Amino acid sequence: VSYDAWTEILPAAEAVIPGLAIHPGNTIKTTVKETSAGVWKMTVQDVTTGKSGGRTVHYSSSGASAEAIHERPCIADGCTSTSDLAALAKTNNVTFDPGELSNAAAGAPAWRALLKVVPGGTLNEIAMTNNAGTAVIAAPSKADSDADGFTVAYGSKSPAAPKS
Amino acid sequence: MQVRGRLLGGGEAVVLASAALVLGGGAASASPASGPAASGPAATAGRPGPAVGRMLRAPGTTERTISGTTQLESANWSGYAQDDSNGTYKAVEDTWKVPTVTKVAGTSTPPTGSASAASATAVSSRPEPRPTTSAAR
Repeated sequence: VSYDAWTEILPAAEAVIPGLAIHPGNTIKTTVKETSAGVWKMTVQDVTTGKSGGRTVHYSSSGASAEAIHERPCIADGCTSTSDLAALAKTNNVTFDPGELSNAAAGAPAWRALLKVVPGGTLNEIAMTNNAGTAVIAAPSKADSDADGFTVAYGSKSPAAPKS
Repeated sequence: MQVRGRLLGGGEAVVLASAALVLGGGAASASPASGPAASGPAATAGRPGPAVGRMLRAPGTTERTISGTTQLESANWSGYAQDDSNGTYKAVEDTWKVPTVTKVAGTSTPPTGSASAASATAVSSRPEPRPTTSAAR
């Protein structure tokens, strides 16, 4: 098992961040933000080691969604069906907390709780299913009390929400 | 078109992707004209990004709204997403601990192995959460 940190701009391949060693148990903070019109900075910070990396790109985004997710990747060329997805590795629970987003002007973020819906927005709670869609294989908790955190558990049972 | 192309060979070839950022979008918005392509271990394929999108919602899945939160099922995402077709979001950040793999899938025919991205925080050009067909490690 190996661990990497990367940034990516879909549908291109990921770009591994060189020199940023990742270890289980380390605390990671990731940020994606528009620093000026059409300029986006992506950062992965290993809070445990104090090291970080990332890149800044010119990108035209609709800004239509913001999310924090646990995922299983596609491991086949094409990615046209669920059969192209990797089996989900079994892990201990992952708690995302705190998470924040901003809908303020680029370069001047006004952070607010990730799970607190901004006016006009919709909050989506997403459960991961098996390839056939017949069973949940990774389930999120409800939001914590201050609406900035949640936990994802391997399997069909939703874990308890983290303490805020 | 590039997609994540690291095929995991052998039953023990399980890799956990522990930290991911996604600046999501369709092929057009991720073209070299609007942003540099990533330089990771890519494979060339003919996947039409905008048509396929990042959502791989399994057949027969449901969508319902409870207390203002829409519950979705996805083939490869678990977590939370906010969406607003008006293009509200300018920044997002999150913090988590890198999980430990506790079980290794044992299969012998590629594509094999298990993989997981512990998280992606994203500002996407998609109008709804679209589990990514991304980041095979």
